[in-house]
Order: sequence, then C-alpha cells, then structure tokens
Amino acid sequence: MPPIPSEFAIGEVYLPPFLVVTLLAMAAATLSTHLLNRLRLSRFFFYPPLVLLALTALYIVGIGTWIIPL
Amino acid sequence: MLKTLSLGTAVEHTRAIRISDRTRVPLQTGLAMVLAYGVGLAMDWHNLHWAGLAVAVCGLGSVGESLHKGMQRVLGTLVALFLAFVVLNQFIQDRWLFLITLSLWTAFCSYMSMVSARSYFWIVAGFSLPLLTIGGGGPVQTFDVIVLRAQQTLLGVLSFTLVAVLIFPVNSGRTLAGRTTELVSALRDLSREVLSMLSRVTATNASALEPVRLGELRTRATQALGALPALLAAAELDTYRVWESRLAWRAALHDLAQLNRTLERLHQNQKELSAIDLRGHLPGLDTLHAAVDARLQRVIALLPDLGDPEPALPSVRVGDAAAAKINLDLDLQTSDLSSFDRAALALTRQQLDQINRLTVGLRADIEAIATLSKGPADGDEQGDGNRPASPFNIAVLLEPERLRSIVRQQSTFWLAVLCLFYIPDMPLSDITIVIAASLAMSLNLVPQVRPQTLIAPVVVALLFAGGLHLLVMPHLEGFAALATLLFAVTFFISWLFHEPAQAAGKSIGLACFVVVMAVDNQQTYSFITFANLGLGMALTVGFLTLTTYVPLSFRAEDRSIALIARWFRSASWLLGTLGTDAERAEQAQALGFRARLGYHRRLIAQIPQQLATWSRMLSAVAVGSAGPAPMQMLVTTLQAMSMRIEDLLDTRDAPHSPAMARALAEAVREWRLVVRDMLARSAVEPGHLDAAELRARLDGKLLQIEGLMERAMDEDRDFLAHLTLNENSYRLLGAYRGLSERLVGFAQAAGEVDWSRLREPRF
Repeated sequence: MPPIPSEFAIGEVYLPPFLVVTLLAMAAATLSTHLLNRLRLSRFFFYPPLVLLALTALYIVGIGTWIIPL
Repeated sequence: MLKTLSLGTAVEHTRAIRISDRTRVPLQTGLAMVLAYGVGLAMDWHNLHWAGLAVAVCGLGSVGESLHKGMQRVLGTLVALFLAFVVLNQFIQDRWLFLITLSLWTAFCSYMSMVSARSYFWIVAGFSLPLLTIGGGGPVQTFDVIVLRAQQTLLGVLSFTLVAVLIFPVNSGRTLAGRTTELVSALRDLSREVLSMLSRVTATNASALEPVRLGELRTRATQALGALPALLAAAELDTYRVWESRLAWRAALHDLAQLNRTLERLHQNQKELSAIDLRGHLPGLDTLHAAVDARLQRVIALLPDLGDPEPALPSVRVGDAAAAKINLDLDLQTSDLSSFDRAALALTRQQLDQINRLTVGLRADIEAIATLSKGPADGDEQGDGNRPASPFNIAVLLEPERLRSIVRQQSTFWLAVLCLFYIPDMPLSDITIVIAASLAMSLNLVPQVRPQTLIAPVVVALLFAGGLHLLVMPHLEGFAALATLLFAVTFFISWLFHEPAQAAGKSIGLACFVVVMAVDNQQTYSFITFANLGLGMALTVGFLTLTTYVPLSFRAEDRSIALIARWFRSASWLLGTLGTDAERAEQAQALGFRARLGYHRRLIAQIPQQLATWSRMLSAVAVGSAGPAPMQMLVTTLQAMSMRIEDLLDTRDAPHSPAMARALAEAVREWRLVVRDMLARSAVEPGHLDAAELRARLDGKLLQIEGLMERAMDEDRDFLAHLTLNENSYRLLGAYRGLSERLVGFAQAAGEVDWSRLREPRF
C-alpha cells in the first residue's frame, strides 16, 4: 500500500508536500547542473536552460514517487 | 517650498555640531521612521509599513536627493492611483482582460524606467497598479486601500523631508559642486596627459605612454559624469542658487560630457600621428595646452563655493585669454606630409579646435553660475551650437536589449500569476504578484545582476525581522518602547549599509523590517504570516532565477557574444550607407531609413558600454585559460571603432572636394566595401580576421591611395583649389584609416579570445 501524502510540519508551520518536493527538486537540479558545468559535460546539450527545466521536472517526479509521496 | 528651504538653510548655518554622513543619514532615517509611525498610529491608520517603506527608500544623503526621490514616489503612486480606478471600473468582471491590462501597464512602465532619467517614478507607477488593484484585499475595500496608500506614501516622504530639513540638513548643492570639481580635475589630468602625449608622440617614444594611468582617469571621469545629472536634479530642489542658474549648470554638464568624449577621440589618434612632428605642424599646440589647463584650473577654483546656499561672490574676471590659433591656415597641400599624415592632422586639428571651444564655453558657464549672471547657454537649447543638424538625425524609440528585459519582466509576472491560479499547493498570495512585478522591474535596470544573489540578503533580513516581530515586539509596552526599537533597528541597518553601492542591501533590510513587523494599533503576532511571506519571497526570487535563463538567456557569455554580433551588424549596415552624394540625398528623404540609421548609430555607441559591464561578469570557466584580459581589450577596440565610425558618419555629411572625389572615389568605395564585408563576417565569426593579413592589406591600400593622390595633384589643376573642402576630404580619409587601424587591433584582440570556450553551451 503506497504511503498517504501528508503535510510537513516544521514547528507549527505546515507545508504542502508538493512545495517541499519542488524545492528539493530545484536544489537537486541546480546541483546537477553545477556538476555538469564543472565537468564540461554541458557542452553536449543543445539548449541547457531547457535541460535545467527538464531535470527539475524529473527530480519532482522522482522525489514525489519514491521519497516524499505526492 | 521656498520657506522650507530657507528654514533649512537657517538651521544649517546655525549648527555647531559636525557629524559624519555615515551617522547623519541613519540618524535622520531612524527619526523619520519614528515620526511616520507615530503620526500613523495617532491617526489610527492601517498598513503603516507603506509609510515605513517610503522613509526607507527616500532616505538619501541630502535634502534634495530625498525630496527628488520622494516626489517621484508620490507622483508615481498618484498616476497608478488614477489608473487603478479606471482599470477596476472597466475590467473588474473579466479576470484575463484585467490581468492583461496590468501586464501591459507594467511592461510600458518597465521600458520607460530603462530609458527615462526619472526611472524610479516609472517603477513606482508600474508596480503600484497591481498593488492597488489586487493587493488590497478585494474590490470592496479597494477605494479605502488606494486612499490609504496615497496617505501613507505622503506621510513617509514628508516625515523624512521634515527631519532632513530640520536636523543636520545637508544641501545637494555642495555635493554637486564637489562631484563636479572631481570631474573637472579628472578631465584636467586627462587633457594634460593626452595633450602631452600628442606633443611627444613619435615612433620612437610611443611605447612610453601610460595606458594604466589614462584608463584610471577615464574611469574616474565616466563615473562622475554618470552621477551628475541626478545630483543636479536634486540640487535644483534644495539649493536656490542652483535652481536660479540651472540652465548654466546643464550647459556646463553638457560641455563636460563633450569634453570627455573629444579627449577620448583625440587619444585614439596617437597611432596615426606617430610619424608626425605635431609641434612643427601645429604651432599653437603648446599655447592651447596651457590655455586649456588654465581654464580648467580657473573652473576648479570657482566650483567649490557654487554649491553653498549663500556663497561670497567671487571676483570673476570676465573674458578669457584665448589660446593662439591652432594653425588654422595650415597648408595641408604644400607641407611635406604624406596624404594620410595630412588626414590624421586634419582630424586632430578639428578635435583640438573643439576642445578649445568647449573649455571656453565651460569657463563662461561656471563664471555665469558664480555671478548668477546670464550664461551663454541661457535661452538656448542644448546641442552642438556650431554643428549643423544632420538630415539623418532621428530619435530612437525601441532598443533590443531593453525589449529583452521586458520579456523577462513579463515572464516573471505571468509565472507568478499562473502559479497562483493553477498550483494550489504553492504558498503564494496576491501580494506575490506585486513583489514579482516590482523586483523584475528593478532588476531590469541592472540586468547583469543574477537574482540568486538576492537570496542570502533576503533570508537574513527576513529572519532578523521575524525574530524581532515574534520575540521582541510582544514584550514592548507603549509607543516609547516601540519607537526605541524602530529607531535602533533603522539606525543600525542604515549605518551598516552606508555606502552608495550597498543601497540595495539597505532597501532590502529596511523593507523586510517594516513589512514583517506589521505595526498596528490592534497589534497581532502571526508566525504563519511571517512564514508565508518568507516562502512567497523565496518563490519570487525562484521565478526571477528561472526567467533569467528561460525563455531568453541573461547569462554573461550569451549576452557578450550576442552584443558583439549586433555591434558588427550595425557597423556593417552603417558603412553601407556611405554611398555617393546622390544616394545619400535620396536616403535622407526616407523616414524609415533615417529611423534605421538613428537606431544603428545608437547601438554602436551603446553596445561597448553594455559589453564592458557584461564582460566583467564572465566566469573563469567561460573565458578559459586566456583570462579576462583579451575580452577587455576587445571591448576597448570596439569602443575605439565606434568613435571612428561616428567620425566617419559626421565627416561624410560635410561638403567635399570634387577634385579629390574624382581622384579617389573608386578606391575609397572599394575600401569601404571590403571593410563592410569584414564587419559583416565578424558578426557571425568574430575570430576569423587575421591581424597580419589585415595589416598587409591596409598598408597596400594606403600606398594605393597615396599614389592616386600624387597623380591627381600633378594632373588635376583643381586639386589644390578649395582648402576647406580638401580638408573635409582629408578628415574623411583619416576616419577611414582610423577605422581600419582599429579593425587590425580588434583582430589581434579577437585572436586571443577563446571563442569555442565562450560559445560552449553552459547552464
């Protein structure tokens, strides 16, 4: 049975799981792009800004499926 | 206002305590904050943070600067206030029409803020419309919100003005005079350097020049020139003498800008003059040098007193010991110079004449300001008095770099709107749209700044203000305790961020403080409001970060490459316009052509400045092992080429010698077309030029034209007939050669740039 989505409570502030997933995904995408820049792998992409968006979407789906269920 | 000014003047003159600016401005801001909150609470007004924001933003170094910014804030709010009624009346029932209207208005205001000298007025007018219409808590309360906003803004501006006038007042006049003195000193040093260089430039000692020192002087002059128009506008408000002599001040600033530009052009001539004994051919050069120096020294001596409200009138010697004529009857035909040396000499002599005229005019303007007499520029519009208006001049309305910024601003606005509507999980409120519009508009003024850099100051400011709101405020009793807190925090933030370069930090700190504190007579403490505001701000910065890359890229590498390409396209187009007299007469009739000409001329003048800013932001990864130096050199050569193209366009408008045209027309046309093609190709591939090959081709072309000139002198009896017309033609030749020389310089600089690294796709 998949886990039930629930709000995140930080102190008494309740955060929707989608927000937390989005923030984590943005952080992970930024980290990945930094890494790709550093290793000069970004030159193999035609339009990196779109890749950044795509990575963010992929991370949202991944984190939302396996780590913090949406 | 005059009464207020005289009161301020009186207080200033009776003050005995001296206080540094670092302490004075925070003191005034803190007291104004207390006064604004005190009045607002006494009147039982809500949303007092609007008054606090007005104090935070308008608290500047002097009465005039604060008043100038305050007036822009009040007027911008009033314009938006009127529009808010119209928009609500017309579109309140249609969500999308309503949002499109807001979007168009913010786009218009954002563009105007980038082109107008009163950019703050347009920014306030732009973000105030969404603030008043959707940030007010619903249409039923809108009228009250609009009135309250106007009251609070006026309260904040008036509070600061009152405090600034009564307590340690400082007039902008003194700052204006001080900064102008700095500028004139820099220009004096620059003129000394450049004129000394001209006197001693020969092939053997050309290498002994001091580019570093010159670079520093040019930077000093450019920075001072950029700050003076705003200072003059402020000084007109708080210093009666500056207001009385404002036309002479404006004329003086215009002369200073022209002088800076002419000195820069003169400096660019040194390479072409390397084989000429200038003292021998321009006997008045030393006298001019001394006269220019004496005039600027006189101006520097007069300036410091001019900003005082009631200075002692200086003894002004009317008139000016004119410099000796700069060999105005220079016999260009019979001297022992080659044709291109004559061309360089003709160009230089024209620029020296201009420097002579400008310094005479500047001295007359400053003397007119000193004596409050009628200056030479009074009653006359600005402009180069002696230069006839070109039929090609036309105003430029739209500029591509600014349109790109509008795209980013609109993307941010719509992203915030769509997320608010369609993603219920996002903790966004209607105020997020206002913050997004306001931040994006402000960011457009400095497009090279990365929004990510805002994250740290915003988070720190929010945590600090949140801590005060939740932990300190509940323990305060009465207004005295609240006032102490308001004063202490405002003073601390203003004191900490006292440098002009730290203005953004100060604004963020104070804005977060007054918004998060949410002071009210019926005070409430809500952690969730604070947390939502924090998340909303973080998401707004996130939207801005995203729109910096999508749909248009604002990365330094992309902008640098695009600007270089655009510069070359414009330069190539401009060279294509220099056809025959008949072609140009036909072109001058077409409005569309004149508009394009104005557009491209403006681009080639602006792009090197924009490129200088963007190239400084290039990362170490982007410039590769070569480092930033080749790119900076490349920007310098583009700037030099821009000046040469301007010379070329200006000189082409003058009447030319028919005999010289007959002799050289074909060769010059061929030369122009070759250079045009090179420029066009450089737009696509800037690194393709081979400097050595270019030098050889240029030398060959110079030899060919020399040969044609000698033959024409021997065969054409009209050749020596019209001295003035011949000189115009020589100047044209000099401009062509100058452009070609700079193109060789560009090829050298471009050869050292790692273009493949720069073009490499990067996140």
